[in-house]
Amino acid sequence: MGNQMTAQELKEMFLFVAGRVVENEEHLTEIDGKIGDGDHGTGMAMGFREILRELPACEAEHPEEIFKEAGTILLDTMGGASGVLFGTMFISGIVKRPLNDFLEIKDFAEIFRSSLDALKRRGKAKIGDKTMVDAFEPAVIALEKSAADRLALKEGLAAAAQSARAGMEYTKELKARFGRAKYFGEKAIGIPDAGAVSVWIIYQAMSDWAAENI
Amino acid sequence: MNKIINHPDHMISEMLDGYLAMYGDQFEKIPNPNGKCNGMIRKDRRDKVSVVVGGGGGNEPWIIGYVGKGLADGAALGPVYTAPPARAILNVTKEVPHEKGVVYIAANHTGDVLNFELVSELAELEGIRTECVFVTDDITSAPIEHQEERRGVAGISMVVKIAGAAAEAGLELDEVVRIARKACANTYTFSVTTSPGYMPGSGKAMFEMPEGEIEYGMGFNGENGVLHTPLTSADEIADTLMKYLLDDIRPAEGDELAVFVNGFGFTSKLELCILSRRVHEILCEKGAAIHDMFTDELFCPQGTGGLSISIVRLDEELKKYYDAPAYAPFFKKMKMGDLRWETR
Repeated sequence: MGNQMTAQELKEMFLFVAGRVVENEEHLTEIDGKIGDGDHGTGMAMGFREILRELPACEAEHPEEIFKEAGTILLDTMGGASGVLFGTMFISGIVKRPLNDFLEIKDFAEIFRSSLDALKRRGKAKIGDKTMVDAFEPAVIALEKSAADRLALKEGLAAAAQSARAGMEYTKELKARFGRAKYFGEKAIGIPDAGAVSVWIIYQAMSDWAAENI
Repeated sequence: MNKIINHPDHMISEMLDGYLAMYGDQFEKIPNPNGKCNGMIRKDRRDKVSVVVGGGGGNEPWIIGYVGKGLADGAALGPVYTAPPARAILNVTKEVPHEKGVVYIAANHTGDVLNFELVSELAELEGIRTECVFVTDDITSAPIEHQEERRGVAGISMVVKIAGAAAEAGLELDEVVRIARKACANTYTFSVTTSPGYMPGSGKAMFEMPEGEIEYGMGFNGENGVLHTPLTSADEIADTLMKYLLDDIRPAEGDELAVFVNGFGFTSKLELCILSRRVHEILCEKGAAIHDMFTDELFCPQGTGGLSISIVRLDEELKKYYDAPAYAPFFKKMKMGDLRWETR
């Protein structure tokens, strides 16, 4: 035990994540307000609040169904670029996978690798563009390394959260190439990308939940 | 700034409810199952290609007011300044006549592009043929060599109008799309901002603009423009606006132009006419053929001060659809020639 997560556990973890995102609404809005249009926090809170409302009723045997449900809720309620991109983060990783009874660290690595690839295709962003990819890609690499090193689930998620945080910090050094932040040029330096902050919040919450419950 | 709302979460749906209460004979609401975002369609469903527009609220009449005769058939409304979720657009797509296909027209902003590209795939799964046209008229957001990267602003009104007329004329999907893309490639917009708009939910200024200063080419949420100057006279502002526009358009001898002076909401018709006077003078001095020139408020970011000028370069084909009548409560263009003085 300690190395597997059932659908029920995944659901509880995502509900914990959703609560954490909602708590950070003001923080995210403030960051986005400096170089975006200030609606990132509102949009994220709207989507994850809907997860808190709807996900508990989702009866799933397979963790993949939880991913799909969470992603669909985000996609249908958030709108904006964030709705598609964070929806993709949860849905696209499980599209071509067989259903499992539980997830191990290697499954998390595979799922988030596929969703990262889909996200980069859709959003046309890469590392260094000051987007959520700057936090997401290092987190996926950390998950893959943890899987290769056969780390326990909570250790792998902790490594992913740490890498996501480092990636988020790195976005402070960058000028933006996408979204409204692009038009702020040099003024964007020193401020992190709000999407990258959200990715880190999500990974940190997954790690915090796993540390207590797995 | 004092704003008249009930609750920030209900602004868009209550706006739509009010609009439909007044104009319910022409339009109906397409609710989203989760109730967050809304759509609307024309009641007179006609057997033709449909045009569907969408985007974030906040720049009314853009989106809600672009559904009408000779215009769009349906619209998906996102929250203020946030693109509508793909699902909301899909719901509208299913409700408009779609047997002959649907043309999506949206401004070229990341959120709109992502959601419309996604819904295009979802519609295909439902067996509905769709094509996306992303409007790129803002000349300052990328150089002309990268015209496809430009933002979409007030010129979207002209693209929707021309595409709507082409669809109304019974053209096939591919033809409507070709004409819409041609209109888009020939539409150019440049703006001057004189004071900030105020977010409808919070009443907070969308950016700072000191008294006595103006900025050209600024985004509605304070994105950097291309030129920041002290406030000058109307004629000098018109000169600057037209210099940038004509340098970008480089109209050839004999090109016919349609010119639309769009007030952002705060700037009065008095000011808009003074400025239009000089714009007209400049075009005449340059020997440009002005096919039509008008001022209206079709793309208004929340009481922002300033205006934009959109110029459409018309060939015979575009002119035909530009001249067709269009009617929506906030967007009226008579058929060119109708109700005009005979001496014109």
